[in-house]
Amino acid sequence: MYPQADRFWNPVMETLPREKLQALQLKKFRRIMQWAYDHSRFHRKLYQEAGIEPNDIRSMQDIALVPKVEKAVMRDIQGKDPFPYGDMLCVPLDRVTAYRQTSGTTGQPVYQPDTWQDWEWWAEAWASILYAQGYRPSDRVFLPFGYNVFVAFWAGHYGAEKLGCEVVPGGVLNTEARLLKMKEVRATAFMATPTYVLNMADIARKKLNLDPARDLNIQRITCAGEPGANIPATKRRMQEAWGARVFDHIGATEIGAWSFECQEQPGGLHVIEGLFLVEIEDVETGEIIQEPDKPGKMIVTALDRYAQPCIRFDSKDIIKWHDQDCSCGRTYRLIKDGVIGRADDITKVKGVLLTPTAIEEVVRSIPELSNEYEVVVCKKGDVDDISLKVELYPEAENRQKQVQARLEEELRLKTNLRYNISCHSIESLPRYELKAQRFKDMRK
Amino acid sequence: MCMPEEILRNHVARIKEIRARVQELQDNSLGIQAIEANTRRILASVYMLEMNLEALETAEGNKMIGDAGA
Repeated sequence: MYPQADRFWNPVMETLPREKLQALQLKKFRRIMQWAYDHSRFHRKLYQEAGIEPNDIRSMQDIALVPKVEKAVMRDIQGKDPFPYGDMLCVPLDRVTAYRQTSGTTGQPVYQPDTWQDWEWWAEAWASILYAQGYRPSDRVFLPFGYNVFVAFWAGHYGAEKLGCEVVPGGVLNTEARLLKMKEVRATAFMATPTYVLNMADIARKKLNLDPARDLNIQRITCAGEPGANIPATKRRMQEAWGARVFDHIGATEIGAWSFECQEQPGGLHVIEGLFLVEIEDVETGEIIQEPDKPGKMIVTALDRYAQPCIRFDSKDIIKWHDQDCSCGRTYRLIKDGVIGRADDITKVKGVLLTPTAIEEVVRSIPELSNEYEVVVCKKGDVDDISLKVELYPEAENRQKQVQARLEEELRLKTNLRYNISCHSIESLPRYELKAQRFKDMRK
Repeated sequence: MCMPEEILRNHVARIKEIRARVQELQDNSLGIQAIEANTRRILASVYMLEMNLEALETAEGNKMIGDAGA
């Protein structure tokens, strides 16, 4: 009944014509808004103060009238009864079966409750992500992460299981032991942050005398947790190091698993529009952007998440719609190049707007430099100062001057800024296992 | 490709029936934790079915036949 149904996890949802997809989204938005209105003191107060009720939402355009929620607001209401979630919680506390929290890179962590049903929803979303990236029941998927309070790859684990993969948990092991286990069981896939993907490859070569591309059986890698897999130079480094295809996924603890890069690798990620509503808001005017190639802030709604609903959450992520459809056949829209910045990361240095990922793209496009770098912005008197530390591979040390000159020029072209650049030996800079913090703004 | 509306209605009715029967089992579990816990998990999976069926209704039907349970 659905031609080529085996190309998609859910060929119905993933190929719905746009007008039907929007009809479904509208129906679901009204349902989750009604749910939140009926079950959460926070949401009812928010909507009543805005003079809006769920029945007022009759078209997609009406959705923009619903007030947004920011992470800072979530922090303020949590820590109170029903402890620790506060009155954003929409279910009795004894229906919460999963506790997670955000990573805390932008401040106090936000607590995230999920019911059994919400957790099934996480698994459903991740199953669709992994299927789109070529995972099949024949895959043996290794999970090299700590299985701690961050949702990270827990949902990837359960999604892979739902899909029918064999999942090998590599929680307690150190990096060398994980690599050896991946080799021993002939794992075909794994999931990690881009930082750790590159770190593992480094350790494999230096400490185990293993070439991941030659000696391990990895065919696909799913990255999440930080930008990287959609920065071309970083993606290239990962794919070359592992001899595997690398795919991006962007999600968040407080939102869900909302996007994926498919096997066509179209230069962007699909929004899982059957489960999420993504709006792009013009940062200056607040208008909702429909046209491609115009960046704005992502406002996102998780259409089926009930314990702590995510309704018009202001993610602060900067994205833009792609100007092309994807050849994979999905009608889920693409965001171009992934998350291209964060509204609170994009900063002005010497009067120039700077997106930290632009620096990564330049550093990692220069083969003489290692994967690690560090940027520090500070004030010297009244003037901004930006310095960049990079690591030079030993074989390139006799070309330091030329490498530095190339780095300076390419950074100037890409970011319109001049940096105080210093080259350091390998292993001088910090290594990170999970999310890296390479950009430090000391002016804040 | 077009599923007759009658077949779709039958699917939806069947899912609603399953939900009702499992819910009844949960409500009348005699306080037996094993029954309560497993029925709760089944209902979570039933919601996923309902959610996917809702998409099928949207694709195939001209009107929304059923509602995914909350």
